[in-house]
Amino acid sequence: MAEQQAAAILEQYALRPEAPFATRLWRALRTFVVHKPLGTFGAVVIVLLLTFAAFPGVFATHDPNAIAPLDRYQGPSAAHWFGTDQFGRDVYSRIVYGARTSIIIGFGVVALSATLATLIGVISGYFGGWFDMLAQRLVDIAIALPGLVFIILVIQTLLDLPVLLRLILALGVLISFGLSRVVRGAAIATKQFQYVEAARVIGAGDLRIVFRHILPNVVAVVLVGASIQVGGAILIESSLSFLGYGVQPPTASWGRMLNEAREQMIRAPHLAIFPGLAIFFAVFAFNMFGDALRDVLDPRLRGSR
Amino acid sequence: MQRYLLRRLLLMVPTLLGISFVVFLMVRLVPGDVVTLISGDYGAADPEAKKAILKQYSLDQNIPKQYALWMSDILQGNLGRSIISNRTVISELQHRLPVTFELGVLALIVSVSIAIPVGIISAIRQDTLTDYAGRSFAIALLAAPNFWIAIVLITLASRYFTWGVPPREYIHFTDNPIGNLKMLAMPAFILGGALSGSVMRYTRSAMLEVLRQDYIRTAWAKGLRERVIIVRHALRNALIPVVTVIGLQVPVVVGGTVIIESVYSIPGMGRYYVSAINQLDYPVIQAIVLVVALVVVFSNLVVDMTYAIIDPRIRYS
Amino acid sequence: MSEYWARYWKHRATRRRFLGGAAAATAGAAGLALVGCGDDEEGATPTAAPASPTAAGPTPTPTPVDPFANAKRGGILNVASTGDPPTIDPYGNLSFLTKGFAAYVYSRLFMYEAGPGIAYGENRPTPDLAESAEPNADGSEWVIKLKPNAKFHNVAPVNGRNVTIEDVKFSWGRMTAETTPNRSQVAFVDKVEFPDATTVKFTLKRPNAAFLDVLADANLFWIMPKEAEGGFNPAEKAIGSGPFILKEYVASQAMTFDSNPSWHFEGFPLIAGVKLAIIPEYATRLAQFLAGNLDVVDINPNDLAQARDQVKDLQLIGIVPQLLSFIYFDPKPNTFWRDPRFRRAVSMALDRDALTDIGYNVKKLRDAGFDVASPWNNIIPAGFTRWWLDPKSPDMGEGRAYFEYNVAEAKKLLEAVGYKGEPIKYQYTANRYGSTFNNIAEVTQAYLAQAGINVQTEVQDYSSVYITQTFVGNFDGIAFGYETPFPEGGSYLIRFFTDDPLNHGKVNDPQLKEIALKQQATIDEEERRALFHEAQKINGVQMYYVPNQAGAGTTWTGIQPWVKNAVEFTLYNTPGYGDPTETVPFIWLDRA
Repeated sequence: MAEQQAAAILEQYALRPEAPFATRLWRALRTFVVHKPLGTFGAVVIVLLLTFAAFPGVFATHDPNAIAPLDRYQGPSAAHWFGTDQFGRDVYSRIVYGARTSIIIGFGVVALSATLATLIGVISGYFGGWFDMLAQRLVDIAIALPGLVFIILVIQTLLDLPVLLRLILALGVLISFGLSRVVRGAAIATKQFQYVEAARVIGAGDLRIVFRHILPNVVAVVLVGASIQVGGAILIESSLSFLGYGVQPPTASWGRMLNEAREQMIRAPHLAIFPGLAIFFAVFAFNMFGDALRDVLDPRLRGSR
Repeated sequence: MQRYLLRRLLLMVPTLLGISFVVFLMVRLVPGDVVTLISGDYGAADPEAKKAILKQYSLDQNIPKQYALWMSDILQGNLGRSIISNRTVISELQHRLPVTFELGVLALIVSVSIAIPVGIISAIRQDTLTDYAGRSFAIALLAAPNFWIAIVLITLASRYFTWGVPPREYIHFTDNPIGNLKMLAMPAFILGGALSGSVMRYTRSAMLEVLRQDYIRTAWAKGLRERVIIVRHALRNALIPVVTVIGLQVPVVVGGTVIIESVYSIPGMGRYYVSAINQLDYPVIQAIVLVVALVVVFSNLVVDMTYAIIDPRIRYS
Repeated sequence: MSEYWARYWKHRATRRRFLGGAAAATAGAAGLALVGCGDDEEGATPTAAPASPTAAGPTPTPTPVDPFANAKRGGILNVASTGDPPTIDPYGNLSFLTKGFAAYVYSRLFMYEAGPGIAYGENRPTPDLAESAEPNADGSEWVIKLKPNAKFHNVAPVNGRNVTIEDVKFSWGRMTAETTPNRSQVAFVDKVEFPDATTVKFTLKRPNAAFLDVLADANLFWIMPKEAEGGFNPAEKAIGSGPFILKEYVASQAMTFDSNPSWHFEGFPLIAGVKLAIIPEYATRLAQFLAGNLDVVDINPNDLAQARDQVKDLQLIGIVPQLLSFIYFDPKPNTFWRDPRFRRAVSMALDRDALTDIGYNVKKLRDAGFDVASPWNNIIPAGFTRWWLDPKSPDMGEGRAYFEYNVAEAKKLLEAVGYKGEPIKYQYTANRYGSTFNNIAEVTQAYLAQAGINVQTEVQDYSSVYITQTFVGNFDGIAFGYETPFPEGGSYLIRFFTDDPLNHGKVNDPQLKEIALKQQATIDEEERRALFHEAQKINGVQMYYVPNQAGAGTTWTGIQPWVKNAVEFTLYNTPGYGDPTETVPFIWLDRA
């Protein structure tokens, strides 16, 4: 009797077939939305930006490069939602096309820095030894080095590559150093776990251990750190434009638009407000999403819910 | 403890050497050169003049030789002479460095004052409205481009409230401390606000982690009040990683003051550094990088020392 | 001929003439010690004055109103600069920031004259440290006499001693030193001799009609004390004989100048000193001006209306600067632009009025009641009213049509040349010349594209690519840039059309080359002007260089109402960078 009861309970809970993938996904999403509203907001904005980046023509109302000398410096209106700039170009359309530049930079930098950081951090953390010592000294140097010189060097030297690629290269490499420290920490921590030792005892090779055990634990850390860095990369690009480097005309980029708006603040404040807001929302969104991701993925931080 | 300190101090040397060498190479790899800038439009056609100027500044020697010359100067305490202005780098920096230093310190103070309380409260009230509000606020400060805020403020000030226009010239701390602090309040807030986002994040996650520990649960079980638990037990441990993060902000501050200094006409090192880079003024760039690296490495040391003092486990590793 | 030269510079109303009149009329007014100059040198009636076809200002006859009546002494003028001078040694750098600084503290042999009745562009060289200049019969030898009582500032180690021939000799040595990049500008001087203690004799390789302009050029010949070598470091200390003494320079912050009580123009400066704040950000400068903290500021044309509304009794000086922007083509053979039709098409693709409007906000300003000029640049910039030939004038002949905005015709020409849309590189530098230039450069690209020219824009870094390669003719495709703003018009022709290494497009047209060389030696003003016009006509047809509109609009300087004499003396607006010597000493402040 007790056995039957036990079997019934088991069937009801422990042995029930797993829900199909779609349902599980849906449930996970719903939980995410309910418990992480800020993160959800961030995710929505990110999706919006990605859509802008992929299909700008659908959303823009004008050609972002169309010059109309007669319509300069117009404020927001029905014809031009965000007004026009010093050449009469539609600001709203330029912001939509600018999303593409920001997304490319953001994701490019993250992809590059995440890859490099994982490489350096895992090898350094897991294998240790003289490579670790050497690598860490190099990372020390790289972190203490002011990045501006390095960025300018890359931008001015590799002239064959398009500007965007040069920017991604420069920023990606710079960020990867700091990130590698974090990865190294996670790799070292994971290395101490008993199941890793166990794996070694049963004869698993280094490479296998790295791929099956270390990396998955490290990925979460990298993902979180990287998603937050996207916002940073976008901000850095706009700062670079401000200083005169970065994307060149006539490409629309939020940072450039902000830079051009600098002189016009007194006569046409709307020119600075909208690109500034765009950058603000993008950075905010990536940060919030990254935070929520960390809260969800890091088992140590899961709340009482 | 002493051995740890000694070991760290010794490690500083190769790091600094490495930095000096890397920067030395990097600036010379950038295409274009300072002599071209000095000669301007005419120099393009006058190779004699360029050769003469190169010679004047020993730029015509090969790189290892130049490096040796520079290193020997540094070790004698001579930071070199700016190629563009022909004044000693020390004289150029002696007024500018304290200004940036003060701005940086103020920014860090602002950042910490915002970040730690917000981070702690957010952690205690995780996933509540307070948490969301606090985090949004901190991230909002980080997300808005700081030059944008700065120019908006100055423009609004000049148009609508003229008392908000910053003084035409920089007021030195030694001349008028109150005036100086009033001037730097806005720029420090803008800079510090942007930094507070990341510090807040670390504070929050460190706090969250600590709050899950067993000893905290014991404290709850004992019936201690929340305030006592937080302040007496959780805070100390949570602040350890935060101290590290604050240390990490130092290089960011140094590079990040440039734009604020430009917009607010603050005669600091950041602005000078960027203009030196634009003009490829090698001695100045090298000297500033060295100084900054020194500050960074030293502050890392201080942070690690603090770590070691707080957490005895580290001392004996 | 010699008589012409004597009249050429003497006929201009010198400052002393005004002082003589003022002393008589307002003796004792406000304690001005204007009497005692004792010079009764009367200017001859200006028969030799050039009557340029588009003369803007009146010829200098004594104006009935004395600018120094009621002048008050004292007060500090507050101005701002866009950056630190790279160095305060006048021979250390070619930057305008260095030269502009030098003009406060140092003197030249000659300077440009400003004052009531002298419009911008009409300024002629007038003696600064020199007392007189006597040319020989054909202008190939010049004897310059120094003022006997000009003194240096009373600062150690120079201690206020007289300016002597030794100092001129020393300064000439620095001007022609190997490390001075622009010494080629004085390469036409064969030798310099010092026959006695107050005389300098220049012997030129060939007659130069513009020799006094060369001596007045703020880019060139500054007189420094000989102690600058060994006694003090001119990069750290500035000791000259100019109207102001450098009291303090806090890097990146401000410069403080005191008026020089022993300046060789007695009784001036009228103010007590100048405070020059270093404010790199335009928006901040404007904000300071609107709040009353700055007395003078550069105002962007788009902000004029607001400035006028916010500052009661705002004074404005609007001038068309002598600045030439132009499109040039690479010198390689077998390119489309070997054929003049292609070059003409490029010129006709540009809507010059729209470009000027974009750069200088012409239409809106005119609607708001401002008097805005919008001339078209020719190969001589429009601000050079003395030599400029209006591209719209019938004297241009065939070239006139090529300045018109005519996209249809441009397309036809491109087709005739056989251009089928191949990509062409279009390059310029965006980190040197400011936002007006950058805007016009960007819009020019749009106009070229509109006419069917497939332009691939490449924005180049100034110091590493543009000035070292493109500017010297080492490039592919089309380039766009500013020319060096020469105070002397002939320099444009020399650079563009002779064997000058900076002939950007390596243009080799024998006719133009001949004209360029000839004008330099042509003494007669009318004849010389005819040569300038001829050169502009020929280039109009050939379009070796296509003039563009950046530099051709009106630029504005805003001045607070309490700065008097500012407009009469075109404060901070003389050609070249010498205005601190030429204008600032003659204004006065009336802060009520």
